[in-house]
Amino acid sequence: MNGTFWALIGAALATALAGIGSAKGVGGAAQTAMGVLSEDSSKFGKMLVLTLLPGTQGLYGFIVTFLILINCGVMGGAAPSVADGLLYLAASLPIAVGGLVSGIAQGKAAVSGIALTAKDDSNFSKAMVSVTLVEIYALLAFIVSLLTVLNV
Amino acid sequence: MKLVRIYALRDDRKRILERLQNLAVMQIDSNESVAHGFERIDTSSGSQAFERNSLLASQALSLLDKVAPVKKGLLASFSGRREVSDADIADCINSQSELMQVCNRIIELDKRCADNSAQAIRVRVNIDQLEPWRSLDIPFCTSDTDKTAVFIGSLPSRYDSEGLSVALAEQNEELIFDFEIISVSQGMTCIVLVVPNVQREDAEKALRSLGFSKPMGANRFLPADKIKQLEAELEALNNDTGKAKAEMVELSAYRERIELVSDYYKARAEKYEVIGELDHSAHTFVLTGYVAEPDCKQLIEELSAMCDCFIETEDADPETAPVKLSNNAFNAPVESIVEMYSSPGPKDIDPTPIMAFFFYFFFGMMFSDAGYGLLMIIATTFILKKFKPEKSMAMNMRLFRNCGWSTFIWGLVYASFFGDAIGAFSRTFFGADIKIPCVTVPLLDPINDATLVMIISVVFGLIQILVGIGAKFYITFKSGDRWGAVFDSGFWMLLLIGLGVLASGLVLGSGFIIAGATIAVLCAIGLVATQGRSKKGAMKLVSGLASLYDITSYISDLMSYTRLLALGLTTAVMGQVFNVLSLQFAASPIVWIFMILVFIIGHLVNFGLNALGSYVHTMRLQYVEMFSKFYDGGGKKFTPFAVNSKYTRLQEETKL
Repeated sequence: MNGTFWALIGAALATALAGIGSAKGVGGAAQTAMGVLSEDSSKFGKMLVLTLLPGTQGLYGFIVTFLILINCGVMGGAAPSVADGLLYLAASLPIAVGGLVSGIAQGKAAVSGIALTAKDDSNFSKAMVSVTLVEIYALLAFIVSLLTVLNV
Repeated sequence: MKLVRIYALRDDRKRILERLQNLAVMQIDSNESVAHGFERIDTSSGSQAFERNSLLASQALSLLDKVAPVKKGLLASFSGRREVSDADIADCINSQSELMQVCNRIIELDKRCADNSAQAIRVRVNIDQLEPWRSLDIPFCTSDTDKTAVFIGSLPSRYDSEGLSVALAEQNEELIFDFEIISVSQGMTCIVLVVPNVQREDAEKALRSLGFSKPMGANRFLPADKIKQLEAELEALNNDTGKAKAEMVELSAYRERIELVSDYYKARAEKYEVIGELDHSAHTFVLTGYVAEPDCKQLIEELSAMCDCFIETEDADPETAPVKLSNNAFNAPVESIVEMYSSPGPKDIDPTPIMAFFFYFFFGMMFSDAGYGLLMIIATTFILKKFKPEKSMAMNMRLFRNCGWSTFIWGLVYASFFGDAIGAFSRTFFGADIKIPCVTVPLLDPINDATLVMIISVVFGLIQILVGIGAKFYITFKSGDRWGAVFDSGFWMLLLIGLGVLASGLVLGSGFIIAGATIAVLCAIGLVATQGRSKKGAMKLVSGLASLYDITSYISDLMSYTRLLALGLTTAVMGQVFNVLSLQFAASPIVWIFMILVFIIGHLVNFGLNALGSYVHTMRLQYVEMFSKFYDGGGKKFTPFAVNSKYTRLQEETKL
């Protein structure tokens, strides 16, 4: 097993796990939002914003994957040694795990935010800000992964 | 904000109210109790009548939309409500009764359509029931003959002739019968059975045990004829519905006038509601309301010139007065962001001018692509010029245009133009890196200098937080509590600055470390000494020490600004990804179309996702990190007495 293999495992984990987190989060939020839209379709814009908020984790995971791919000989760069490959794997873990868990948690917050906004439009900004409170942990995980990948 | 009282004659009431409604500068205040010698007039029946008419017209319009939908362009939502001329309004007022008749007619026609389709369903059910009997050549009500009894009806299972004979014989072996099977379907057999009169009861018994039932609605027509009749009825119903719909389509020519009349009634209903809030004496009335200070003088001049009236003004009580934000052209678009959070409360200052710059700046730093910035500038300018958007929409467009400029400039700093499009395409097609200063040569590269950009982000965060605490300092200082301002805000500002200097010492040398540490420690001592000043005894020291714990919240606020890097990177890298994907098709000119498609769609996706992300996260930075330092909110928004029309712009767009 060469270094590229380990780096690709890391790349796969980053996109797949963070993607699962976002998919669960956005999926739950979208279900709730559609319930609200069936009553009042004029809220579509606000619902869309709240639904998309848990979607960023997947993006962060994807970016980390992309950076690994352009560094480890798949889309550019040279094939890494086994040691470097393992380092890429380790670097992908923060966003993989952080994205997975925070995506699901943010999805739950988004569902509540949607319920809050459905009751009264003026709650929208409060709901939005509360939902983004979760985001910071995904962001921190992303930054750690990013800095690690760039400096391997 | 001023509290304005207008005393005038009842004869002038209509003119004054109409003028005020058109100017939309005054929020009527009806909370004051009725003064001695005055009374209120109950106008609810009048206003309800107008409200009802307005609703009726709206209802007619929504029915028209169903039968004759208006085709709207993709961008029509930007142009807002329709503008109307004075002649249109005069025409609408003259023909209001005719228009209401049209509305009633439309509603009546729609009801006719609904009734028809309900009736059509009933008829269709009847036809379905008769369908199995179509080939029956005697009417259902055929009576017995002298010698025989006739049974017409259905059995709830499937029989062929042999099976039915056997089944009947099994029930009663002596039964003499003859039958005809009219139709057979799943779970039902329609039969006509003839038995001798004498065996009538035996036959009934046998049939009953087989589950025989007579058809519903027996009559003297042949089933086939009846079906024909019903089908004719169905067609008549459809024709009638068609006619009604056609008439509605014809009436949709009135649509614009109905819209206008709906708005007109709504405006009148609102005016009547206001009349109910006024204090009246036999010949005069008093009107009280809030007017923003700059509008006061001209309002008074205009009303005094129009009629005999006496107007007095006083400073409004800040606890109860509504808030109207007023800012210059650069800051004003951000007002909507402030109002989305909450209007300023009685003790607040208007945060718009403080945060406007940061809002644009941070949005640009997160979106950070010169190409996207240009797109935003062009799109918003186009909408502002080409359509005449409503005021709130125009404000939003200006907000995004300013954000677009910031995005453009940050794009140049990061050398991001549709990701790395220029470099990537020039490498593929010309085999050489084209270097254009400012577009491909970054001053700062978020991908390779990520650490540096992160530090810069946190520094920007520190600046915003300092500005926030500074605003708190200003508010406290101005309210007279000068030492409180220094203790609660000044020390924290200095402490944060000290920590900043300390951190910079890690790069710049030990002198900075010592200086920073000294400032920080002195401020910390100051905080311990002053933060417990309202407590007694030993609690002074304890709560002073406890206040230092707040440092954790400042640190986490600062860390929050690393999102400036993260979102900036997201835009850059996603753009890069789509460029790489589209360049997969660069090999032969035949598939260049795919290259262009992937490029356009990819960047549209990136634009949408990251514009949303940047908007949301910029807002969060203002609300959570900055507002928490000085802004309470909780004020009431200024909502003037105005024409709140739905379809047309009845409101005069005049500035006082």
